[in-house]
Amino acid sequence: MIGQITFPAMGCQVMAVLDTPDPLAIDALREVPGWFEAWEQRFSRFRPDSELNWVNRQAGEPVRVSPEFAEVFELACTAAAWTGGLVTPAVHDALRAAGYQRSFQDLPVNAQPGNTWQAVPLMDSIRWDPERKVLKLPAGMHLDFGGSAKGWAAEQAVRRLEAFGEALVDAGGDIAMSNLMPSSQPGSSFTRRREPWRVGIAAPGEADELMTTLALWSGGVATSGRDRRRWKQGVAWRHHLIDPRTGRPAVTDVLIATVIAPSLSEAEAAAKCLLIAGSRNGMDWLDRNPQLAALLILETGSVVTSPNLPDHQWKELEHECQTGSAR
Amino acid sequence: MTITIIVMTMIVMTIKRMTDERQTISCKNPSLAGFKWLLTALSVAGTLGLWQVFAGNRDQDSRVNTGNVGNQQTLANEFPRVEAGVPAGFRQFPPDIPVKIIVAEAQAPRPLAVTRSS
Repeated sequence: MIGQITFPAMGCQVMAVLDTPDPLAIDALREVPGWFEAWEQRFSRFRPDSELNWVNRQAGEPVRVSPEFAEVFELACTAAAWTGGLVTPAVHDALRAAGYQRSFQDLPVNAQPGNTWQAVPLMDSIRWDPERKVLKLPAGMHLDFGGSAKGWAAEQAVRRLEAFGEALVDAGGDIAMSNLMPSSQPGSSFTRRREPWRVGIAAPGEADELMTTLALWSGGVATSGRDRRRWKQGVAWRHHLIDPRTGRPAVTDVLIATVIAPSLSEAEAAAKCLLIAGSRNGMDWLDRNPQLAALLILETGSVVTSPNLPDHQWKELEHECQTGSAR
Repeated sequence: MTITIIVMTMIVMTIKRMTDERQTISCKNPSLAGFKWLLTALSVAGTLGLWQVFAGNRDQDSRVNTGNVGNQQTLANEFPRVEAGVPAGFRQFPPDIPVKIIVAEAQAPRPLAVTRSS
């Protein structure tokens, strides 16, 4: 059976899919909105009583954080180191200065101007004790996990659903998936469907058109872009992807970047990195990370892809043959 | 970086001294002119080198300092959490959240997920 649940969470629409031979396991899907609610309560910067805001208020003092917070913080640190600091959780104040001061649904079309542009603090000013999970932000520094927390949440939900079947979780376009079946061991009566997940890459803007369709067996895919989720500040359009070198919304030739990666966390960080770095530097960085595949849509409308993208594209005939055949 | 700054300062001071000398002494020595060109080239290379040092530092600065932070006394600062983990159903979503569940037969095609700017 295939069960599918959709609900709003973390400022977007979430879809969780479970493909399982056990009809009773479909009930596991009913737990997913509760999981997301708990994670949003921990990581949202728009909820005054979230753990993230509590940590931000304690900047300058060492604080012990929850295991989940520690996990997301370390993911964000890994992303910062991997991308040479281009993707960093230290953009909180820069986002506010750009006018992103409330959740996107509540953001007025013309956002209030920020006070001044904020330089993005460097990560080496943070002290972190991974053993005791003690974090000390320098006074005046604030974190925003943004997409990192959403990607982590989608991956966590997939891990939990994997106990019941093959799962996919789509959190507003950031997609984590599994194709592992715990019961598909020798002696088990269940045989796994040899069918990949179908993932479309949306065309720019609000239309429902697709650029292409992917066939993915596992891992994650994420898209970062300046075509949606943007607002006006005075006469200028702003968006939420801050270039830490300037402290302002990134201005590059990349309009949208989609990345396929072994995990959603990697895909999410890489998509942001490509958008902020621009097409030339971004493709150079991509060459050094052959585990990734990417599709970039430039401001000019032209499309740039990594050489390995066709390996992930849906090939109708091939998958028709595989669908229904058991391993 | 300190070494680069010292080297650059020395180069600039040498050029300045030579410029001063040129004002007082009429110098037509071609080897000295060549030496000046060499110093200028070194100065440009030094500037580029300095940029590389900054560029390299950005990578280093993107890593957090790990290690022992604070002491047991200050760790009274702990987020008041209800439970250690996030167990299933830890916090029920408000009942007015529009949740939609669809169940299809096993042989039905899997739904299409779409990745878009988020």
